[in-house]
Amino acid sequence: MRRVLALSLVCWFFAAGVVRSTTVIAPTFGSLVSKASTIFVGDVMDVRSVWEDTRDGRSIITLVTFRVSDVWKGSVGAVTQLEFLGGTIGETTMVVAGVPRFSVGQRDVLFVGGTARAISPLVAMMHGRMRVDRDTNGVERVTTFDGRAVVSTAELGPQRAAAAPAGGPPMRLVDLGAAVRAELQRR
Amino acid sequence: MRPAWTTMLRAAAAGLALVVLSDRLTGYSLNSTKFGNGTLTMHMQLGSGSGTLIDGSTSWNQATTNALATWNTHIDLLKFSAIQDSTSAIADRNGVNNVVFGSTVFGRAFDDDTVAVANWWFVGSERSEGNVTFNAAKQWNSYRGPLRRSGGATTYDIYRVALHEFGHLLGLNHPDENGQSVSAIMNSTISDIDALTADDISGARVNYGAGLTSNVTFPPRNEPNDFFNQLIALYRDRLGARAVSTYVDAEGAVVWLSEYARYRVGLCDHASAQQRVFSQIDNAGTYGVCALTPAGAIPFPPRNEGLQFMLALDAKYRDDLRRSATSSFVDNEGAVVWVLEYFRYRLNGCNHSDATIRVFQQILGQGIQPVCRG
Repeated sequence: MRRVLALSLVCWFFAAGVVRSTTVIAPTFGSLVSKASTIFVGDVMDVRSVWEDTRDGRSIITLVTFRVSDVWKGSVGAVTQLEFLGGTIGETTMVVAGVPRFSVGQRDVLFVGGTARAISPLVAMMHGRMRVDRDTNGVERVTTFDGRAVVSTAELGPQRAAAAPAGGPPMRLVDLGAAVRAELQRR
Repeated sequence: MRPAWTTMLRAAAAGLALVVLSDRLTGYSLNSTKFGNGTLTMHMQLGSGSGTLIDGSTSWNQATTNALATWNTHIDLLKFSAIQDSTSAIADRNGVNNVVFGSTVFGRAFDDDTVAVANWWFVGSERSEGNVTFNAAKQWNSYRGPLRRSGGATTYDIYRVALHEFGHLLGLNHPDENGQSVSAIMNSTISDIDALTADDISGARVNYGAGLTSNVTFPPRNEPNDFFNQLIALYRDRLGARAVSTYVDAEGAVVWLSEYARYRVGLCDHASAQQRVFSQIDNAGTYGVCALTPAGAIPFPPRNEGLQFMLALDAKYRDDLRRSATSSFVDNEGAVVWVLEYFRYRLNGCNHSDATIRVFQQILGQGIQPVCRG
């Protein structure tokens, strides 16, 4: 158990240094769900960056491969890959502010949008990623991409940045799944 | 294994505590990479067709160049420069820092919720190129005040978004995504904040502040304070001046006029000097000067600019600091004229007593006195 907690802390510690920027309108939970073509829970199996030559110059893209453990919306195979603009090859790094970065072993809920060849395939750049970590009791709990606890889906949205942090533990993964399904049924 | 995990747990917890503590103390959040000191040339390629914008800007390039200029007044070691209507290639990793509208960021599409994107390249910790792309599908203008929404759509203020994106090029992250709750243009969500805040400026100055240390030594503060007290007595007792209302107290007048003079003597222009002083008042820290003062007689700002500064300072005390009116026998004009004269004599070789006497001789109609060194 201590190992799990330590791992969570270490992950959080390193996540705190991740680049996040750009101007994005934080979506509400309803918007996240409705704009996503697929929503799934996945474990990062592989992260690989490659050069991409286009008429706009030479870029780096990062291919992130997920083992899919649960699908809440849409259709996705047991293993799927998402492409993100930016990444590191050798000593050279291309940063696209706001595009999330992944590490092997991380577990996430991904809200994948429908835009083809997007900067980030996720809804609202980084907001379409929710982190999943186990608490000291082994319960999977959800935080937003930047490590802030999701206590209630109602708190997500543009107002969140200005609001004081909500109290209470992060919501359980199973509860988030239920909330997504309820939102889909409501629609 | 257990001891190793225990050690890691302790280290992580210590690191966590350190991060939280340092965030609370510092406010802003810095990225681990930045551009080297010098000039960062931005190629303004936002095109024509904006017409006159709400804030009076006549083009998108002008509105965003204003944002560059705003940052420039607060940083010393790096300066943005702007090439208007640049025809350089708009491409990634070509060494050109493009500022453009686009439906894609170098071939990759915007989503609905993304308004603008900054991207950059680096090797090691030094950046080599930085670009800003504004989402062409959004509705833009340039204005101050609350965000303008109409019929469910937002008209975005390109100036404040540019301030934010250029802040990323200066190495700033989002403070609100790093456990902080501060007022900042660099927060992750666009808001009614339409200008840099003290937190934004403090962060940028960690990377690019410091600047030049003035090569001119100003007198210790007790001496100009003493001069000002004597000036008040002179106005009251010799000139028979009546008390006037002012929001800047005597100590504030001396301290901030001294800082204004320090920047001006350090070859900052009026606007830059005033902005730096006001940022100091807002707790953004002390700035370096703009250039070393040349040898010879030390130049001082013209009176009209000193008076403009003093009037703006009075308004800042009244409106921003919410100070109550106080009374003084020396009006704002007298304060700025004679305090700056006192400093002019002091920096040109006169001691406290000599400078005071020379200023008083001027006040009593004996004309401008010679400085104490040639």
